[in-house]
Amino acid sequence: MKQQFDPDEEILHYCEHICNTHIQVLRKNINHGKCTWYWDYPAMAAVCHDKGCHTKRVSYSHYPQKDEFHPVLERKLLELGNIGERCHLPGKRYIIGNCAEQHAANKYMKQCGEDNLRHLYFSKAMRPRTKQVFEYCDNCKNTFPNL
Amino acid sequence: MRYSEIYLTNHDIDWFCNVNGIFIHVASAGGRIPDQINDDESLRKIQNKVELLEDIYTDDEIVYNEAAITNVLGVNNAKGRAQYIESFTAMARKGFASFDRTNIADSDDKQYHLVCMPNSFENKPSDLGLYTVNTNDGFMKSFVELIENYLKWKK
Repeated sequence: MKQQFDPDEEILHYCEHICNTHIQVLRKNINHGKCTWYWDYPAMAAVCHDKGCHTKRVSYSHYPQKDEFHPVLERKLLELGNIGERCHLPGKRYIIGNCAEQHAANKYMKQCGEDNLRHLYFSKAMRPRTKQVFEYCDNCKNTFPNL
Repeated sequence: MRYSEIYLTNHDIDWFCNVNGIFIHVASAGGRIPDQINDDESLRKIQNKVELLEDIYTDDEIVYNEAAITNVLGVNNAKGRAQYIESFTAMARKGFASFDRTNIADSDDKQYHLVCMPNSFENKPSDLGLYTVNTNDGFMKSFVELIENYLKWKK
């Protein structure tokens, strides 16, 4: 059995990793255009994990690639509208498929063989630059039952 | 090439300009970037140059906008404060007045606050080819006002 982890410590470590990598990428001028990881800070980062905190995947806010999402997650996201476009539900209309939580969940589902959204848990959503914690957006609350 | 709206929404981009001889750094925090600065090729060159600049001010020479920081983080949050100011302090050490976007949850909101700056602008970074702000420019005017208000308060 893997050792348990604290999701809120994990997200802090991940954000520190992003900040350190960001500085190295800038200093070394590793510029592959907009595909360069962490040339610019991502706006938000999150950890997706299981209930017992044994397994996790991390990710950050970015534009979704076509056919990127796990079929179960994709079906749920499509209830909000087209992926890559603003949500059609009332309220703040965030872009579907952009959020760190959605990308972390997608990695978790694909890489850990999970196909039930009810089994997904999340760290706090954190801004890497400042380590500020923010509320989950309406898209994520409507997608993941445990948020 | 211009940043797409979606790229801007997803990223917390460092951008820079020159206001009345004062060098300004701004964290976009998922917000828009002024049209005059919205070019990824030229901004990335500047970001690289800024990252490679030597510090020209010490930590003792940096002044913080405590009211704005408290407004963002709340009171009695020493750990949060240290984490929050880190990247802005790094810019102030290099000679920039450093700003953050205030209402991060709303990507269309254009309210910014000064986080910190050097206690003087006698030392300046070498010429970085920064965009010089026309103080009649609507969007940039708010930065000019924030700097001027701060300098008045300091006197």
